Amino acid sequence: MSTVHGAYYCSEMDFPARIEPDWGKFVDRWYQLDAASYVLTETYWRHHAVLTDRPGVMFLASPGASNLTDSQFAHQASQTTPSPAKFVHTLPNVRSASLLKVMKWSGEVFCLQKDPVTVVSALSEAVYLARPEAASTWVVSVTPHGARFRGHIFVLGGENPASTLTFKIPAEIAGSLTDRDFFSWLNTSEQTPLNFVAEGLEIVKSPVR
Amino acid sequence: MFSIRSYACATGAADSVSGLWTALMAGRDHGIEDFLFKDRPAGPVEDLLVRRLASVYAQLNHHALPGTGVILASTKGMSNDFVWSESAATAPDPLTPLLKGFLRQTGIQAERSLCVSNACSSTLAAFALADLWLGQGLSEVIVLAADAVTPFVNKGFESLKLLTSEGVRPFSADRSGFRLGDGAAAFVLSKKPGVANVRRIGLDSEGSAVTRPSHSGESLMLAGLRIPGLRENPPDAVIAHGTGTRINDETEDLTLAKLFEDPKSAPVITGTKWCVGHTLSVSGAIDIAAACEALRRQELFALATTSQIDPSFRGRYRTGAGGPLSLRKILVSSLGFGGMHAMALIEAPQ
Repeated sequence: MSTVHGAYYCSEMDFPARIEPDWGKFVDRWYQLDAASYVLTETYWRHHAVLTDRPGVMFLASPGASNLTDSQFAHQASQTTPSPAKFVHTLPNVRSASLLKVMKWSGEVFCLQKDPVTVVSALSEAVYLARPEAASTWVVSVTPHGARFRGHIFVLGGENPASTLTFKIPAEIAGSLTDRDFFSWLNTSEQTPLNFVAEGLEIVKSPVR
Repeated sequence: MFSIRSYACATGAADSVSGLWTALMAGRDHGIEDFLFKDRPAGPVEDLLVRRLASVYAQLNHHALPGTGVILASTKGMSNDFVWSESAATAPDPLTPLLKGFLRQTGIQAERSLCVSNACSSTLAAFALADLWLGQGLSEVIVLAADAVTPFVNKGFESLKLLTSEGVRPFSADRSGFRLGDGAAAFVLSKKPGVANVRRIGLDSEGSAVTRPSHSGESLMLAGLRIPGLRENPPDAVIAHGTGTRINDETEDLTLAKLFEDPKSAPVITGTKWCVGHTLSVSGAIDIAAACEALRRQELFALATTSQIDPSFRGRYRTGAGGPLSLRKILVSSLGFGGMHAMALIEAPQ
């Protein structure tokens, strides 16, 4: 069994932004980013003071792939000249580009999809890979939340004193929950139930210290 | 290190690896011909891709073992000609249904399965993930790759002005872009001996720019340097990404020149996109299959449509028949939108 501790950082926001973000100076034409790119980068920026270590590997979990941007591109292309700036974001991996630019980091990134368990599957991959003595493994993602968006950054393994979650694989019991269930469980302030099981992965909230 | 136990692919130019090889060696200039599957239906392409994946996998005559992993590499999966609707924006990702369709059609019970979408370096990223899975104890991993050219994709690349209205001429002075192609491929990867070995996949993703690699080629270089001993023991040949766009080819030439500085041992460089088009996520799979065939046959195809290499380039490009080669190691490079770059060193078995 592999057991790894991790920290979770989340931010919720509107899109599009009304003013230039602080990191706008690092990203050429930041205003052309799609929602996923913007939210991912802004989430990192809001937490960058504590996200000082750099990952060994990053898993970019893309639930819904680029469907939102695809539909916007298709809608736009049917009415007017299609925008190349919009089209480039119809590849779901592209959302990591602005994040990497602002992080000033390059390295191994895997863009993963497996709806409805894309995020949980990416976390499973990270648990297999993460080691306390090695560089951390990050799982990053963006999900819609009503009319707003949430950016998520999980930091597994490495020197991680701020750990709030414990990940165990393989889970001792079967579970068939989805990403939606996971975020619902994760974002509730209640401490029970303590564990979440899906895709062979068990996640436990660490007791409040 | 892991091995390629078996491989198969299909493109618009050929339905099998041997057909691909014949097309590559024949060197016919396809002009601006479409590189699409000849059996494309008039309607949706999703059934076509499931069928194509099942048929290339059937060419392997493989019976999946218990503990098999399956990874699908694709950029757009079962996305069809996207039509605007409220529900479209919240629909599930378009790759997982393709993977599930393949598993249903073949009856494979996968112990682990996942989809990788690293743009045009998706296949090499899937190989890198498979390497991790094999190290974590899976007995074998089936890597699949599939993409089809939909009106949506075509319109997008047209908007980027990357499609040529002339022939595809990678690395030539008058190169003007690429044509899109359909493709599907299947590989069985294992720690057991196979028809070729893969020492390690080098991956690197950068945030330099969305549609092009950094001019310095630094990230592609880093991908190469993640393959142990690549510089010290250069490959005999490189199957380059070679899209035929101004910036991609320039960066690839610069990077390969930096990686292999000694002209005496510099590898000969070739590519496949002039023959099969740019098959997006599948392009790395086509190039790996072509590398396996080249190692097996001890022959190498040329950049047949390129008559004059860009005079500013430094690489040793194969544009004609060339002399005989002793092929032990072939490097495959892939560059993807979003700055996702990868290299794979394919070696003949000992």
